[in-house]
Amino acid sequence: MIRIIFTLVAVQLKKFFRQPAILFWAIAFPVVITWVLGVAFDHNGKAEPLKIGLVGVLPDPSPLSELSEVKWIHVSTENDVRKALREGSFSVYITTSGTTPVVHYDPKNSDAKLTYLSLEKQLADRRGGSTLKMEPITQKGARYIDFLLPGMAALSIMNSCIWGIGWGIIEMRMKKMLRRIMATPIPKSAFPIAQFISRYVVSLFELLVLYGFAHFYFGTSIQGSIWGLIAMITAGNFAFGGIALMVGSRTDNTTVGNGLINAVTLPMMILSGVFFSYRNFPTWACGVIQYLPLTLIADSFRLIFNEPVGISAVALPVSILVVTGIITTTMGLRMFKWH
Amino acid sequence: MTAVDSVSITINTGEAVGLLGPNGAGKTTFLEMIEGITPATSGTLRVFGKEWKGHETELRGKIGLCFQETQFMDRLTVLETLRLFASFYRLPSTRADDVIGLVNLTEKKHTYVEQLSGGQRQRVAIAIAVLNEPQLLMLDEPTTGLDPRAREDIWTLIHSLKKSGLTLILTTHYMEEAESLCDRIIMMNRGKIVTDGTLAELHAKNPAPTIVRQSTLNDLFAALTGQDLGKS
Repeated sequence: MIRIIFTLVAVQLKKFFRQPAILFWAIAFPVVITWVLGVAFDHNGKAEPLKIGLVGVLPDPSPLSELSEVKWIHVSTENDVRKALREGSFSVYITTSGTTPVVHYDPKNSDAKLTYLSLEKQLADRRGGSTLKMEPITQKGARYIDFLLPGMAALSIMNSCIWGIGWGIIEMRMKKMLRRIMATPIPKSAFPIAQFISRYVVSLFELLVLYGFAHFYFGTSIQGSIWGLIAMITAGNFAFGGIALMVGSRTDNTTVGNGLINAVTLPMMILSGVFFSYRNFPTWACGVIQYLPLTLIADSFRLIFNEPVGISAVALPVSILVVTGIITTTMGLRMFKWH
Repeated sequence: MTAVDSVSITINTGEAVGLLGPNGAGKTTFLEMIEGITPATSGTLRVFGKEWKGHETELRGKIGLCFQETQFMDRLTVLETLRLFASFYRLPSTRADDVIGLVNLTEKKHTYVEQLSGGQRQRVAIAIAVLNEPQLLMLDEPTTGLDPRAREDIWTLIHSLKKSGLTLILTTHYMEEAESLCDRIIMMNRGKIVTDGTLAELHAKNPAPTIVRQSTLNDLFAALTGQDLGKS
């Protein structure tokens, strides 16, 4: 009995250590993610300062100005406030037009609520009682759902393309279907074109359902150009379609395929500010992150959803995504293995 | 590794040729070379008198293929699967219905392919192979893994296809399958052709080992290679 268990344990361990892809995902990937998030939220061992927007100037004297664990982000206009909320630079801001400072935040945003409570506690610790007046953010474009929905829509495009096209191709190769298709007189370009079009249709449907739900449940609406939105959806699908084609271009091994897909999607899912702002990362990292395909789509969606902007406002990200799509599609087709 | 080594043969129109050999003999690689999927590293390969390069679309339109263990798309019915492949050959979708009748799957045409039995799935694979009314039909171990009844059904189907006059190349390691379906047998071992001839010629090469039994292809294969493929 002991010998059997020993042999079985040995076999399991051999199986584990002989698969480089599993080794990467089980051991290396958690270390990498820990490092990335550790860097993003490290403040040299000190508590993270509260990032709070400030419209106007704090009265002198004010209990708020005595707080040392607050990083004030000065904004002057309502537009700046909306932009900062949209980008996630802060989730709480204070206006000082009256005698008492008023704190604004969306109570449905857990991050904002935590910031508010921390601020209130700091004040209470110093003064023995808080004098903050709170006003919830209710206007469209400034709530957490207005930050979250565009990010989720961008994520939906990425997942739809990478899993639908990338994984679909790997599975077809594994089942020898690609080889079977290649043996017919089908023009080789027809296959990737069909993949892109079908995924685009699915993506439009998914976005419609997501937006429909958010519109009726949360009252969200699109403030900007519909054509800009369509251009961004199209460019986003093209860019991620190309990336998916590259991901699925060679392997017929599902473990490797799974690893490749996760290697592409997980970092972007964490870094690109879908659920929380990427502005928490160091400045040098933000400079890179803002050009990741998922970040470009999420940021542009936030702009179009929440601001009355025209198509020209997203011209640059659309162009970058189209170029990304052209490069990745070309490389994917060159590397493509039919069998 | 050299899978196919210095093979030189000509297959004539209308012949039914069986490629026989044990696993790893090079049958499938040889077939893939004829199919234009695996290029030959040296020598010349012509199909219908033409090399693959520059004639891919034309040749693929004349060839029907049935691979080993091909799986099909999930959640597609037999009819939908055949219509998909009919579109690849630019054939009208009604051709799919015709071929479904040919392979006796009319009752199953609205069934998902993954819900079919192994024999029925193989008939779908053969139906796809004959959709374009090929002049050359290549079947790679079409009955491997099937039960005897399903195998007989496939043999009957192949017999009926042979009557249309197409050229057939079939790989198998079942001797009786080759004897039943093929006019000419090519035996391969370790990438080389070890013998090539009609059934009568091969039987003549290898006299009966006993008085009461005619020699079999297995006897001949064992004599030539020292290996016994055994019976299916």
